[in-house]
Amino acid sequence: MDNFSKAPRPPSKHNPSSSYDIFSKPNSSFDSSAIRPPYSAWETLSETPFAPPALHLEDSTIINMDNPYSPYKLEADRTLAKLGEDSKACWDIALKDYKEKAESFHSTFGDFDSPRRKEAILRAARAFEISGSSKPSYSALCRVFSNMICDSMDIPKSFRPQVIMHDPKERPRVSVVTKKRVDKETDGLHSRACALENAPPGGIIELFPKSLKTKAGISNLFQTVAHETFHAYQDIIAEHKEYRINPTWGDTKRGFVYRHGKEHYIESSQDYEGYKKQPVERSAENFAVTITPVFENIVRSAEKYTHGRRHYVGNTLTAPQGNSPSRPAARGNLSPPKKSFELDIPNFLIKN
Amino acid sequence: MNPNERDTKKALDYILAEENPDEDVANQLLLKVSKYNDIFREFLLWIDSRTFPPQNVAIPVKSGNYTAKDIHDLNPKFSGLGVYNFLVTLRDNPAFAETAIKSGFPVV
Repeated sequence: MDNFSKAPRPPSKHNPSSSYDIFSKPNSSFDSSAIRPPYSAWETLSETPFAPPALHLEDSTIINMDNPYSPYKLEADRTLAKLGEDSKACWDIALKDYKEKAESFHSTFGDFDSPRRKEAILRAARAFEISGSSKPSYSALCRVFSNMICDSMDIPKSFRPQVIMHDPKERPRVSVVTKKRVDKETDGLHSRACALENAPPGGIIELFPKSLKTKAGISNLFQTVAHETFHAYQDIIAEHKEYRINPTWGDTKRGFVYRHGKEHYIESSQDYEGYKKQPVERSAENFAVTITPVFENIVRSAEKYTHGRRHYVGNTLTAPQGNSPSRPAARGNLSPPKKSFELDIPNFLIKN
Repeated sequence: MNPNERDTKKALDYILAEENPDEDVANQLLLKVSKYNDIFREFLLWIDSRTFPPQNVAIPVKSGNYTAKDIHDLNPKFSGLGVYNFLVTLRDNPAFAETAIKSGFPVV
């Protein structure tokens, strides 16, 4: 007590020479301004009301939602809660988002002169090669398609979903990843893969194709891949991983819409119409329908490329130089066989 | 508590306990299934008996009349609530409902 009483104390306003006693009863006439430190900046700060600044959420607003005590986050939550009551506003945001992403995919892979498109054709051609038959490996094609979508959205590899395709003949009754029952109508699932150890951060897409023998069945498979990959993207946005991936994704409205959609999800078994019309499902559905024709076109090009290349490689490898009358080379035509489409074939692929 | 309130509470309790524990979603589902009195009455009977009653409500559309049992036979994955909600869809939005029936209720 003695030592404490000897410690230097701030002077009181009323009695500058006296020191105040911390053990005394609170005095109603006590002026707290008397003990404020002599900071020149204090005057300015004390005049500022302690309230978060007014927040106007724009599409490009970036808010660090990792800090739950941030006044910006509290203000954002209030603003977004109002938004959540308006389903039309939610759908407008989801609509704008899926259109942006679909346009990005089209501009990346839809342009015939785009080097990314040619690269995608080569990647898809690998799916024909590894199958060893005229039919491609659909599992490999699905992985290529999912990666193309992630490429167009700038999703880094560590956050991309892993694609698993089940054999149509051996349709599982239970999802491998989530232990959920797989019904005969289910085409695919994207899940956070909580049932697996070392689950990838982008989740797992499980595909349950009904048939790969018909064109409609194959188209349905590709649509399912696009649909589930878009759900993977929605999960990234909803969980605010976008701040660590790409700062330009920091759109709080969009994040709220997807988070709200995931938290208040209507199952198809409860209300089929409500399930189909919720923004997370509608945007994924529309996105898939919009971009799948682009990928189907790429697959057709890859098929033509693979068959043309096989023919050409066969000729160059097996034909004796100008001795066989049945080969183009034998007739003195050293140019490769005419292909039905134009594509710059890399030399390393032709030689091998 | 008047009979209407009692019925509404019974349906809401069922939805919260067996369908969806989220209150917002449960209220939304209740709002839809209780839109038409005849469908809602039959849904309440279903909650008690867990079987589709013989005096079914039949919703007429272009491709025929659909009862709750028909919908359940078409898609056994539907819960009781899902069946009666689909009857509401058949009445309100028959084009959407018939397309769903023809395409086999696709779920992605």
